[in-house]
This record gives sequence, structure tokens and C-alpha cells, in this order.
Amino acid sequence: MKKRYVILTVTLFLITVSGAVNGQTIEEIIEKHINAHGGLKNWQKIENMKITGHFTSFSERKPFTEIKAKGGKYYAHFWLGQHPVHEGSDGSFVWTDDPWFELPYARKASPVEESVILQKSDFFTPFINYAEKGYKATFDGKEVKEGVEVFKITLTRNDGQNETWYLNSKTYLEYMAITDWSDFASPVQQEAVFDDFRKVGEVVLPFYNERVFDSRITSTEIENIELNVALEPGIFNLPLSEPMKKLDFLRGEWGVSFDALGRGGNWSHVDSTSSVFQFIENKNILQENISYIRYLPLEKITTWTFNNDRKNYLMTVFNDIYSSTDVYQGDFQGDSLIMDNTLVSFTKTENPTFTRYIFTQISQEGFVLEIAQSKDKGETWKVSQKFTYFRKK
Amino acid sequence: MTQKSRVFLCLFCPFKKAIITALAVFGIFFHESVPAQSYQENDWTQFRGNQHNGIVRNVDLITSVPETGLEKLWTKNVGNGFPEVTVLAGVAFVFSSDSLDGGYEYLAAFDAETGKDLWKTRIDTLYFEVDGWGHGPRSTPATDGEMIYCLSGRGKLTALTFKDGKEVWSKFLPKDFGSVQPRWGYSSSPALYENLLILETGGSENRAFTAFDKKTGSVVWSKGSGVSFYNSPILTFLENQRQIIFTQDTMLFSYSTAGDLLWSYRMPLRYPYSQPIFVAPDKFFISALSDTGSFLIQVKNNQVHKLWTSDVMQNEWSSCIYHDGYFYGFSKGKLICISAENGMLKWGQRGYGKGSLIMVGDVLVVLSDQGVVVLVEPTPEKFTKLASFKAMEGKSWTAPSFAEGKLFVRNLSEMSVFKLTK
Repeated sequence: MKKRYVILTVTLFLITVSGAVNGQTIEEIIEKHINAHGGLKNWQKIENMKITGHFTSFSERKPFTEIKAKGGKYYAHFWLGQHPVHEGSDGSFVWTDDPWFELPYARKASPVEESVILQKSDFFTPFINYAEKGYKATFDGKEVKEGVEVFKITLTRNDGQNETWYLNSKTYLEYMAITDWSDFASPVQQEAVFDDFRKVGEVVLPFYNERVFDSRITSTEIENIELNVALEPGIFNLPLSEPMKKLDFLRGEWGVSFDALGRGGNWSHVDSTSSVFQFIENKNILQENISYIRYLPLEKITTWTFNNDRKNYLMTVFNDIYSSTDVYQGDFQGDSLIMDNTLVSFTKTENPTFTRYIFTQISQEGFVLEIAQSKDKGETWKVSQKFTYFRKK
Repeated sequence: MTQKSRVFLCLFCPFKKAIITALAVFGIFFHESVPAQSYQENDWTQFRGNQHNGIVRNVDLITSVPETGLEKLWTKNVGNGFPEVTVLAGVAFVFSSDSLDGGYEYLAAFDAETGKDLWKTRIDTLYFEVDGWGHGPRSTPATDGEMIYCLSGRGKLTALTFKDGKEVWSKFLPKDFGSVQPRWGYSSSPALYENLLILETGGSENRAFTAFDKKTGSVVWSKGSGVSFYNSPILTFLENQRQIIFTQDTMLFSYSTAGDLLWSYRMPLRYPYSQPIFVAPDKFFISALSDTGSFLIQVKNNQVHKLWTSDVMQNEWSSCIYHDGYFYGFSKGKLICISAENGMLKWGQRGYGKGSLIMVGDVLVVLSDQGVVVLVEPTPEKFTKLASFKAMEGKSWTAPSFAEGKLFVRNLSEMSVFKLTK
């Protein structure tokens, strides 16, 4: 026990004084590193940067664009081999549309992918304001890497991940880093080297990096970096899938006029109300909340998704009064969006009544929702309710 | 010997067999590894050259790019395919594909000096690669000057006349051998020895490795179990006899030319895509992208002894070159040199991606995966670049061929030919 205590004490002592033994503390080295990159003051003036150049993976060299902004915001468009990739982070939600999983839309990144995208979202070096970000760094001494004398630094990110950084002992710029990386969403360790440092404005950045992990080799050749550019709104958010973008006409706040067909065959105004269609944040789900009175107060929550296998939309309608949910499927037919339950009815009766939702007369300012019934298995439909939506200013 | 006289030798000489035999005997006594066929050393008749080792000796290669620029003899759009260019007697054979009319694979012959079209024969329907690495054939054709043999990405083995590309015989490995197409297409390249065409057939019922009568296509022998993979047989001469080396999963096999199993060895790694390297007189080096990396074995009295393993060299598909006690090859994004004594690193150089290399005369000819040719001095002291030039645009995964003083490079769209001798 005593022996262990002595070993522990000596180890702790050595760790504590290792910086002094090597002549510099970790703080001094990182300060010189930041200064070599142009100095903290100049970095603090940078709100965002747009980076363009060529990225090579699977030996295919293709153009790429990256946008990084303060707060860990990130967007990138590049190619993996012959497949285009988009990925990003709004600072909290991290997404990708990595096509190797054969999902033709962006999705939430896996924890492994998230870790990589967060690394990419750094303004190149992770040591800028590293302590404020909750990162920890230790100086592990000098080494020689590929003939270059380097300072070895262990960086622990606030999610607990350790990275090893090697800073050139002469220039204090990064020479190499060994960090966790992702290969088809599987965790791997990568070795990255940095080169071709150039001045952009008042800061200095590596215009070339090469990453090797597992059997992969990627290289990034930067051709241009623009600082503090005007950003497209929503660029960092998960983009909607293409089919869901087609439902964007529904998004917004609406005034709604409700008319119904009476028993005598006459249309009459029943109620005026309002509705809100909104996409659930960072998801390909559209939701409507609407309430109106027809005899009893009705509250409906509808949700919309797109099934990529069946290539059609699915709509669920939750009716609060009946505490029931009905399911409809359908797609655009001409200028109208038609959803019905002829294929998803759960009734066991021989001649069930089917319901159809028809979104028609669609424009920027409004649309009409007709609800119809069929008693002949969808051969003919009779409209019984009309909801006229007009966009609220 | 002039090009014309060599064409004559190959195609029409009535004493060809006698000359070939004499050259073969000469080879047995004077070469560290005997040529599989007795071609001019300055040809490239099969995968990784005549000796299956990626080396062409006795060539005085340029060591700098002249101020006037390199002499590019010709260039051509050739379509998708990974096979090396096969060259013999002034004819360059390019195995490739296009996507027209549903897609086909073709073997085409060109005048090696001028690029003039000689013939083009449709071989098979296109092997379509679903992962996007590139469609078309993978296997390098082999030729003996009378015939040329090629294996399509879908597994059709075809023998054609050298002179005009007429089909003489063919086999379809899935149908005739019960073989299953590997994920990335049939890739094994045939090897020629005397009257035999040797191929990894990957067939069922112990038909993994097969020797065909090269004239008729009849099976002389078929042995071993295992599926088709991406490795190719190599011919070596050790312990006083010709040996055919196959790799299969974790196993290394040696067969006599009569089809007798001489020895086998369970390797300390799996699925090497790169080729075994024979180190005369009795050693083999094998490398794969794996924790083991690479190993060296020695064969004595058909017994295999492992000499060392080292994780430094980890070849993916590109094979190493052995020269004067050192291996040069690509490992995880670097061109590196290791000692054959112990596998220890001598030097490493980044910047050439998933490149490939051959050795011509006393120079390593490296092709980067972006189509840059780099001439490198083969020395363990340090990486020494002699010269470099851009040969092609785009992904270039096929190793160069060198024959008749010319460097042949191809990628998934084009091929180019450069004069590289002084």
C-alpha cells in the first residue's frame, strides 16, 4: 500500500512539473499557438468563415464548401467518392445526409458522426478559448514526429473525448492530431496532418490537411477563405427532405372558414377559426393544430410524414372529442394533394365508409380543404365539409 | 532486337518453341526468379509484368524531366476498367468497358508506339459496380504472343487470338465452376506457364485453383477449396522446381505445375488484396491492411517458417516492390520503405494517396491516385524524388505497365503512353 502511495505521489509530482521540466507550461504553449494563428483578439473578431476548395476522398477530388460560425454552428457540402454529402449543426442539433446509408434525406447524426462534425465546426484549432468551452489540456512533453520536433498535448473535450495534438515546436502551429473519427458511422481513430499555413485577414490558417483512418485517406485543399460573410437563413438547420419541402405551402398561421353540407343538401357556414401548420424542429414531420365547433368543440392534431419506400405521404388525424386517430395516405395528383383511408381502414364492416382529404386551389395566399366520403370503396366521393384557409398577414 | 523482329518472333517464327525453350533454360540459370514465359524482359505480358513482381530490369530510365517536357506518345479515351495495360511485341492491350447499349466489356489492341487501333472484341456484358468505385473489368489480361486471355468482371474467361482478337474458347466461372462473383467483381488475373493458363476460379467441389490447357480451354487440373477473391496466382522457382502460389482467405498454397499441393501455410492475417512478393531464393512477403500488417516466411523442404511480422507495412490492393533487402509500398496513405530483415520502417512519404508503384531499371515509378507519376530512387536512406509529372486527370488506381521503353498508365477514363528511356 505504501509503495503504491509513493508511486502515485511521484507520478502526480512528475505530471505537475512536466511543463516546467520541458521549459514551458501548457498555458504558455497554447498562448503561443494562438498567437501563431494570429492572436486571440483577431480571432474574436471572426463571427463566421466560408471556406471553399477541393476535398479528395476515395481518390475522387471534388469541390467543397464549409461554413463555420461562432457557437459551434457548421454547414458543409462535399463529396465522398461520387456521392454528395451535406452535414451541419446549429450549435446543438447535429445532422448529416451521408448517402452511404441510402437514406435520401438528412437525419440526426449518430454520436460518432456528431463527434466528428463538432470537431469540424471548430475554427480550425480547438485551442481558441478552450478553457471557456470546458476543454482541458495537458502538456505531455516534446517528441519528434516524422522528423519534426513537436509539443505533445492531450486535449480533453467537454464530452470526455481525448485527442492528441502535436504542435511544431518552432512555429507553434499544429503539425498533427490524433482524434476519434467516423468511418461509415463506426468509430475509428484518425491521424491528421496540417500544412500550407497562410494568412487570411489577420489570422493564420492551414490550407491543407490530410486525414488517414482505417483504409481511408482524405485530403482537403483550401482555395479560398472569406471571413464574416452574410449567411443564408437556416443554413445550419436540418434541411427538409425533398418530399416534405413540397408541403411547405402548408406552413404558417391561417384563418379558416368552415362550411358543411346540411341534410337538405345546402352548404352553410359553421365556424370561423384559426390553424397553425409547423414543421417539428429538426424533423421531417409537419403538424397542424386546429379547433372548431360543430355541435361539440373539436380539436384536431394532424401530422404529416413521407414514406420513402412507398413513395407517398402519411397523414394521421387525432380527434380529441372521439379520442381516436385515423390514418390516411396519398400524394399530389395534378395541382391537388389527395389523402384517403381506402388502403388503411381498420373497420371490419363489409361496406365501410371511407374518407378523403382533398387539398385544392393551392396558392401562396391560401387553399381549400375538402373532406369527402365514399360508400362504394372509393369509386365515387361526396364532399361534405369545406375548410377555406387564408394566410394570416 | 527491333520491334518488328520481335513481332515476327511472336507471330510467325517456326523455331519459336525452340527459342522459347532456350530462353527459358537461360532464365533458369541466370535469373533470381525465372520468367513464367520466355518473353523479352522488356515486355509486360501479364499482371505485374513477366515476373509477377512489378519489376522490369536492364532499362536506362530517365531520372529527370527534360526541359522540353516529356514525350507523350499517345493518349486515348478507353472507358471504365482497372486492368493493367498488357504489352507484347509492339501491341498494347487494354481491357475496358463502356456503358453504351446496356454496357459491355471490351478487349482492345493498339499499336504500342502510335496508339493506332488494331482490333477490338466484345468480351462480356458490363460488370456494374454498385458501390460507385468504378464499373468494368478488374483482371489484367495475359498473353503469350499467340493468344491473349482475359477474365471479365462477371467471370467470363476468354481466350482470343493475339493477331486479330478472334475468340477461341471461353468459360463462364459461375456456370462452369459453380463460382460466386465476389462483391467487387472477378479480379484475379490469369498467369501463363508453358501450355497452362492458371487462374483462381473459386469454384465449388474443390475447384478453387485451376490450370487450363491454354490452347483448348480444357481443364488440366482443378484443386483446392475456397471462393473467388481478389488475388492472382504467381509463378516462382524455388527448391529446384516451379511453384504456383495462391492466396485464399487466411491460407497460402503452393502447387506444382502438375497440380500437386507442395505446401500450405495459415497466414497471420486475412484477405490480402495485394500480391505475395517472392524474395529469392526461398522467402515470401505478404501484406494486408490489418493489425498484423505484413509478414515474411521462409520455405525449406516444403516447410514454412515465419521470420517476422510487422504492422508497419499495410498494403491495401497495391503491391510492394522488393529491391536489395527492402520493401517499398503504400501503407495507410504513405509511400514507405521497410527493411526485409525485420519489417522496421526506414522512411515514409505522404502525398500520393492510394498510389501504386513498379520498378524500372534502378528507379521506382510511383503513380499517385491523382495520376501523378513520381520517379523515386530505391534507397532505404531517405525518400529521394528524382522527377515527377502529371500523367492523367482523375482517380488512378491501376498500377502502371512498362514495356519497350514506354510507360503505360490508365485510369477509369483515359490511358496515356510516355517515352521514359534516355
